[in-house]
Amino acid sequence: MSWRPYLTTARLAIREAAFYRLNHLLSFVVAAVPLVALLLLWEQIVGPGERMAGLSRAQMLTYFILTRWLYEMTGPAVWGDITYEIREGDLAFHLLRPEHYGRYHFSLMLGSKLPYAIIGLGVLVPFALAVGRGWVWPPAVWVWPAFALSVIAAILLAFQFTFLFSLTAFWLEDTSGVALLVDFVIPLAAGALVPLALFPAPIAAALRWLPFAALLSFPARVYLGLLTPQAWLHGLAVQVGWLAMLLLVNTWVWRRGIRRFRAVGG
Amino acid sequence: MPAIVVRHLHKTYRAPQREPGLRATLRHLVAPRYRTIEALRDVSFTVEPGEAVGYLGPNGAGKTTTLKILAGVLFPDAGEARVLDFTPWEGDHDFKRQIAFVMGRKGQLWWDLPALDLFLLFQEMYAVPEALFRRRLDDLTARFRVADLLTVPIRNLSLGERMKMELIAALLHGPQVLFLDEPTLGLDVLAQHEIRTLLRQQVEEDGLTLMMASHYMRDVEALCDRVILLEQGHIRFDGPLADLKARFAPHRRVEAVLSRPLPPGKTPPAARWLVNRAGPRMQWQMPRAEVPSFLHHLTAHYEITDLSVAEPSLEEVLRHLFDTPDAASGHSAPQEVF
Repeated sequence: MSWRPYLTTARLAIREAAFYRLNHLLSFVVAAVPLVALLLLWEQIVGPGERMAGLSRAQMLTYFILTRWLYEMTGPAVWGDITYEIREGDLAFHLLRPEHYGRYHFSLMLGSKLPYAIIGLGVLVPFALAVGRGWVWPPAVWVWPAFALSVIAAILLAFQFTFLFSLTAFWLEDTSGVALLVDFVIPLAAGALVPLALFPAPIAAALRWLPFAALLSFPARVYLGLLTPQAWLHGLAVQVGWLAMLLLVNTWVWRRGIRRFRAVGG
Repeated sequence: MPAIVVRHLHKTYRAPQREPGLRATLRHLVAPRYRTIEALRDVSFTVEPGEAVGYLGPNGAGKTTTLKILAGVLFPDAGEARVLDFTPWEGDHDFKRQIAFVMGRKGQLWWDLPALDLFLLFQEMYAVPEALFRRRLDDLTARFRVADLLTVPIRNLSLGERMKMELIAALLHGPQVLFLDEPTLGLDVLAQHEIRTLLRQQVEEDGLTLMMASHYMRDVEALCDRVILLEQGHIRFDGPLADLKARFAPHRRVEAVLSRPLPPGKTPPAARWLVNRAGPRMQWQMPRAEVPSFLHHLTAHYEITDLSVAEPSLEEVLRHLFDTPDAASGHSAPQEVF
């Protein structure tokens, strides 16, 4: 199976996203508003020189900027393109072509999010620098590749979640309820609103084993140098384990879903 | 080996039943009711390679459902189908590389990008060698006269131009079997003609097997030698187009204009078949076998300025068939065709 069509799909998605660059910029600015509120709140909670949940004030602010950025880039969602194609019958075109539907949409998502990620950095980094007191760099060189690998695993894992949530469209006429649930639960469970260490101990322990922390909290903690190499490897193994499980679940759900596909219209 | 084999195909859909009113809404929440719609009932047929088959029937007859099952988009409830010796819904990529499906109501090209971008993507997807791809692209764009539109975003093309691009996208990988669902829907007569001409060439020159659902009878008459009539999920007729007309439209319409009106009181010729009369212009509807002797009589005894003999259009034949229960089983009155 050649990967070339999927690379081309990603390139086309970048080209298409270029048509809507102002839209992307505005949506990132909008996404940054709650982040600003969150940063101001945590700045009040963690005073200068204080630590909370093992994080200094600067680490805390960097943590939230990073998790927010990761959420915008990799966050699981109900992907509108997939639910639309299932509901409106356009999935038929994909079933007709010699393509892997999941890979196609992964390429599409990467391509459409890449310009968004660059614009996002263009907004967030100046913001972080302007805030000044809130940005921390990785404390060791090995952290950079470890962080990169963790983000890649998070992106792959997040897509499997997105795919799974979106496939509910085979059973539900309207997936907006699922979308609301995902948008509300994931940032909380992934530690993007409150660091997991601040949850009651049993909940925090459970959340660390659930896959959501592997999406946002884990890569951010790797970046901040809060993990030993062994802890990082353990976290990476958790990411890969969840990834493998979701791949199996998605394959099963997909096979059942396409049997329900109505291919309306056309 | 036939290109398409269909045996005892069944397909049902389940549709929610929602009655009006708040009480019914609450009842539906607790105990939803569904209606089972039989889209296909024991449908069987075969299509040979290179055949062009018109798949006809009223709305809801099951035409599109059949095509989608044969293209691997839908799963049947029962029965079997083989297309190019593949089971379509198993999703084999080797199968998908040999078929294409064009839907008149839907397009697969991205709205914001030019067609060429997508054609190049499909070239990679279908693994079409570069030289072959260029040759096909040049040939198809030249025939459709759209070469200069390849770099124009799809959203800026007219409906006819978009449909031509959709057809090119479907043909670039050189499918052996092409399914068409209303390919000329909403197009102007020129675009319709161009599309029919190109498809005819594909069938005649490249041996393409074509199966088309259409409500435009001109599409069918121009492209298909054989028709399958479907009604309420089962086949009512399957045979050559000429047989359909011969069987269900055994009458001809003769129209003549005399050099001057008949004198008052004079009985017109073949009065029992006369259906219309306006001055010197007269129309008859008569069995096909009677036409030669009647024409001989007419030209021998009357001075004629204009004369025509017409067979009913396919549209008229189908309207009659689908309006008349059991027409296809031979219980209808053929004279009602006109």
